[in-house]
Amino acid sequence: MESWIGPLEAGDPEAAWDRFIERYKRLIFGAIRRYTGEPDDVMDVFARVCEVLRENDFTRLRRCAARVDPDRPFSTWLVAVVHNLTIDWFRHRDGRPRLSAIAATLPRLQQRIFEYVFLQQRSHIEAYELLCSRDGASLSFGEFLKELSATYAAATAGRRGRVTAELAIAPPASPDSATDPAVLAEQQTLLARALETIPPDDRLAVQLYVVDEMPADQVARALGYPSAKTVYNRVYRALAAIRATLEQAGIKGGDL
Amino acid sequence: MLEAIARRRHVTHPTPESLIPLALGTADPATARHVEACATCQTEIERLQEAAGLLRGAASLERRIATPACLDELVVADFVEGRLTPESRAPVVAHLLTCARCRSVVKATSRLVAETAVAAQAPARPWRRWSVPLGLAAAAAIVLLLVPRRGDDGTPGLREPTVTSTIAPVPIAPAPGASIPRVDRLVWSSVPGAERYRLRLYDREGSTLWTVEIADTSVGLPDSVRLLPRVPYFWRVEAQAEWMRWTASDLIPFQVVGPPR
Repeated sequence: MESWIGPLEAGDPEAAWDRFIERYKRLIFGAIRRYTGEPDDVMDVFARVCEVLRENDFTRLRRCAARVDPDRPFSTWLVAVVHNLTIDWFRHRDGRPRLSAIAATLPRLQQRIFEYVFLQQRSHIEAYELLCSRDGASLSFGEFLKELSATYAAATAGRRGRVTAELAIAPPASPDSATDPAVLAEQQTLLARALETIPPDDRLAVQLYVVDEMPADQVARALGYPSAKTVYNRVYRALAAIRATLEQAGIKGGDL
Repeated sequence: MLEAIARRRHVTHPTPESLIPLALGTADPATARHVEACATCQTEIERLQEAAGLLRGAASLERRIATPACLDELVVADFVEGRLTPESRAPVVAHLLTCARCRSVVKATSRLVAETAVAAQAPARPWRRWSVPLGLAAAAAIVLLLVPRRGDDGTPGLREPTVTSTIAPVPIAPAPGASIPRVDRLVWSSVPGAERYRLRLYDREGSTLWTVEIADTSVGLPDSVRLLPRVPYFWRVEAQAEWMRWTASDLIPFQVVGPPR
């Protein structure tokens, strides 16, 4: 039983807060430090987490307390909250000047990419089209992807690197794979067709493991699979289905 | 089982799915050694990588932006812990398939749970009452001295999970590979200091048939779970020995040979 819930329900929120923070401060600090090595950042985000959990007479804590039972570890909810608050804090609050400091070191083109992808959270394709139309840049999509990779590498290095990495979708590992947005769109149509027959749970397992690079054991846990092996099995089936669709469409490896 | 069938048909090759970790980055040394010397498996890996590249290409079309449909943190927590029923999971899965932002929250939460479990185990010091924000800075500054410093390798400072020697529970009945007339109870060994145990029962496809958490070291199989005769099932038990830290037994195959209950 969470010892802080009793006092909270008994109308002594400050006593509840003492017990809560006593128990979870290490967890909260640990989670924040996972994203930033700057002591000032850590303290600021910690203050923000406390502020949010305490605001409106502890509304957030109360809402979660109502659902806490022995089957639901409170800590998992808490790290999800800390993650979201950390990311939001960097993006919206005092984060902007700090993110600008990262952008300031980048070449002009990469600054624009940083703006579109990291701050405005646009897709890579959108960022490319805005660069060409609004900023008058003239580069191919393949060249853009190379610039994007360089931007991503520069922005996610250093003491705040991990939090920046959470703001944008990582560029493809080999930027040569799609050199044209139109080709990419065509590929995605084929992909959608290949994945049609795969149940949603398995499709998500494939997405989380292959694209989002979540460890197989964690994917298995979330989806209730017995082990990581089940994830490999589902991924294999999905990739085989994609391959079959490609072959049916008459696309060979070299065409991609 | 698929794997057994695959092994009979391709005696000298690893099972197709065991190539997946290798094709996408990691693998056990035995598979890697085999593949290094096997042109067939190398070709297979290249084709798997090509298909995976196509999947990854979709990332260029996604935005990592919050919408009103995005998942509540309570839902994310339940999903990450594998606590959603197939019915309640369906809308969550449907959203996650379309939302890069929520997937990143899921990934981060799952990782943080794994990584902070160890850091959180150290005994906390008694802490005076303080008020936000004035006392916060002072109190937190003290705490900062207590939490681990940044690693020397430049990574932000959460400790690497240390290897602990927590004991896993040992399944007793049904025993591994058992063919028994019927299953009324599942029994396992106790783990010193364990607060509770989580049992999962799987069918041959790996779907969870039943899961339960209990403080005891045995549990009766409810009537709602029907086991078909001569069909392989699996069970596993996990013990929560320390806060947020679970240790799991091996996966135990068994089957019933009696009439369906």
